[in-house]
Amino acid sequence: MSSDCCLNIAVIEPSDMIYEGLSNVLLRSDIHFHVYRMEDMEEAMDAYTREAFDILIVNPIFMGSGQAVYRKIKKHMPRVSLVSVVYAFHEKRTLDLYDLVFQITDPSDTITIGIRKLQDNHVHCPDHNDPEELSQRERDILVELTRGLSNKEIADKLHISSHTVVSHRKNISRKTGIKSLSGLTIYAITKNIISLEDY
Amino acid sequence: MYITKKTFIKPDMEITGLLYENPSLLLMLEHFDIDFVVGDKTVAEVCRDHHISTSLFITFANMYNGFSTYDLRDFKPGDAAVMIRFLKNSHDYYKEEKYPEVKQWIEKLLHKNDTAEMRLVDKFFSQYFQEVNDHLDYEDQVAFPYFSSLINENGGHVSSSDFSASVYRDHHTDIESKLMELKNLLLKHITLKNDRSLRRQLLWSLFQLEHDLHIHYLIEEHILIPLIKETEKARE
Repeated sequence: MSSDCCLNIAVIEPSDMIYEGLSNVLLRSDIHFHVYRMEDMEEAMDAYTREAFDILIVNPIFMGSGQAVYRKIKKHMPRVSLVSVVYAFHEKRTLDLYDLVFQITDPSDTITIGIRKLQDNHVHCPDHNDPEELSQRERDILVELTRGLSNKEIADKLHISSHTVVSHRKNISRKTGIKSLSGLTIYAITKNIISLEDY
Repeated sequence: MYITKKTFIKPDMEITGLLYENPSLLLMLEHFDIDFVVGDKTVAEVCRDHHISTSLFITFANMYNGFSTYDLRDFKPGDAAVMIRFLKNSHDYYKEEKYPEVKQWIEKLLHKNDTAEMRLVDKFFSQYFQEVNDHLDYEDQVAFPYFSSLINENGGHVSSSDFSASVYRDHHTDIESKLMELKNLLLKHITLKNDRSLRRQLLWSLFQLEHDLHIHYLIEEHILIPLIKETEKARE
């Protein structure tokens, strides 16, 4: 599902210009995301219970001076990555709490690359180099399946182990998005792997 | 149906405004037996008029808005009756309206494209429709009467032995996965030269059906059945 690859980003940022600018940089990137703007930490924590965020971009002024807010974030939103956009002076110990810090002068690329690195910790994006087409072996197995053979019978016929047949079947279902035998038969006819006379 | 701007629904919001934002809530109101012309009434007011718990209504409505969050502590055993009525009404919608509608699109498409794969799609769907009907009948005739007898202290006794939560789950998984297969076949694999608008209408019906079915299962498996199990425990 493509939504597996979609980041949930929450932003706590009082400046409209910074918020809009940041959103625009992300919109022009190839990152898939939903963005939610929050008024303050309390709203973010409340929203998190309904929709878990992957990344929380929060202005350091909301972090207070000590570790208290940070501990609260880690307790309520354990999986979240913390990011800040810095455009004022903040103490180093505050900025050290973040997973990633952007400066107001950073070019767009720096922001995109930074977020993309964090993305790998949270969501799995499909590899488009992974072919959707069935391999010859998978096609052979599909033909036998549509003839009504069991895993064991297919294994014997093709001189492979039942375990290998099961693993091929999983790959066939993953590539086609179809599990049931009747669905696979329709697929096989559509792709001319079998013709109706075959069975 | 699918919305990107989602409002998290709260008791003081006006129903009509929510309908403008997400028209699939019309269907939800129908499942609740509530007419959608409610003037400027809020969620809380409409719930009071119809004797429906506000937290139950809000939980369901937010599912239609894309938030699948629920807290079992929000529900009382007495809410089960409203839930069962809601689920029964959705059964009628599936059986009388949505599945026949999908079937009709497939038949129209088959009429114009009398190919082997379209004949098999028609057969696939007919068998699937039969499985769905069997499951809905099981719910109407075995599961719901048992639930009702459990929550209604003066009601007759229906044996629990026929009901199994795991059978329920298997049926649901199967129904959802076959619907997904049908979408995959029509969207990714079967190529037809023409009838694009017919295919779009068919797919659109499938997406609508899937959206409502998915919420239906969430309600049954994550709210109603746990609530029933709690009631069973309390009775023992």
